Amino acid sequence: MDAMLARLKETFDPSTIEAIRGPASLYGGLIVGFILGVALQKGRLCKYDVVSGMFRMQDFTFWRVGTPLLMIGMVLIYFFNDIGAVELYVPKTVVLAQLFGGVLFGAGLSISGYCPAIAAGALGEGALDAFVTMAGIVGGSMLYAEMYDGSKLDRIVSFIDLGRVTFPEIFLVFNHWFFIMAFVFMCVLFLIGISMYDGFLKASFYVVDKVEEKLGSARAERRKHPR
Amino acid sequence: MMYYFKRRYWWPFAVGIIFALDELLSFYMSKRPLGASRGYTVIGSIIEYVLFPEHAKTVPYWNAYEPVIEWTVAVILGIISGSLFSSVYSGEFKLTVVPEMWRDSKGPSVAKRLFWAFIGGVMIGFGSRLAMGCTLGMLISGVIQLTPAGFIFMMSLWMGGMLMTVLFYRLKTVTFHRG
Repeated sequence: MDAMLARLKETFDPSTIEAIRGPASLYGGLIVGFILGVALQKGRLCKYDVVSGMFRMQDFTFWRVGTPLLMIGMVLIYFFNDIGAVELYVPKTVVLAQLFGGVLFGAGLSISGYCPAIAAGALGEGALDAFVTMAGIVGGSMLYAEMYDGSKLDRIVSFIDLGRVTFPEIFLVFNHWFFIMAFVFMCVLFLIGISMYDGFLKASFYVVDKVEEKLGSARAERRKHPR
Repeated sequence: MMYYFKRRYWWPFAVGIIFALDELLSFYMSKRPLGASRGYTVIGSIIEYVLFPEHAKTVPYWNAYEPVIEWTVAVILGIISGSLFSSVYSGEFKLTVVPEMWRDSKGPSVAKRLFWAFIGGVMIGFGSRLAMGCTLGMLISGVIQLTPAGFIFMMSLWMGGMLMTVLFYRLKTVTFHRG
């Protein structure tokens, strides 16, 4: 038992709480995570009903938040990269791994209704099933680590490995702002369409609720005064 | 300022802009994109290191994820505290186990909900390790930097989610209920 506690104490590195800036600093992570948690809660994102409603085509809050996030974030990151204030941190592209991983991730997301960041936000909001999902995510990543030794997974993981590339580098476009302009244009059209459809859905669900209320009260009255 | 924290919900567009500024802050201050699923892997590594240290040395995957509390674990703690502060301040905090939409389509059983939440969590954890990132670290940070990885992950996530929703909820997919 004492050996376990000693090992637990070993996992904390005191050099991580010295500065605010830098990729290892814990304070930076706490600040960024706090802002993210407030944004997730105020955006009505960390609820099972909203995440599952996206896959059931009856709640488009996710896309109404996500589309401006992607287009404005893209413009900001590339603008500040051109100035020289930030550096890009490009993830690795492995086509087959991302295809299979994404399908499995989406299947789990539709069953449990919480993705890793949203599970943490939902736990802060008081949903206790999110804690079980978080335990499941830890268990799933431990399972992957145990299975990683085998050579079969290794072949999937490195099937079409493109390395750390971006679209402007693949298509040899000399200026990345062409891609950003096209993406922002598509995003604006998509945002207008999805907002109109979401408003239409909200109105129709409101009508359904009102009709059900009327029917329910009529039924209750009939039960109270049978003929 | 505090008036806006008392409101229950914000306009989705404004939330998207705050999210994008937060991503920029993460790039500027911590010199790395946002990400959450790496934190869960590090927690798994810590658990294995504390309970079975002899076995953990033989697993080659933990060489990349050393059992040290690091930035992404702090992000998870920050998300929990931020959401708790925001929901308590606006009076939204409520302890629930079974969400209403799940009750409409799968029944009010608590054990069933917890079982399927765990199974879904295992699938999410395995898939996010296979794809080398979750919705935050791969989809959002990947699409923002115009990488093919983010777009492939976005499309395959949508395909898998739609297929599994139809297969899993069957006829109870449309519930006439909005969160």
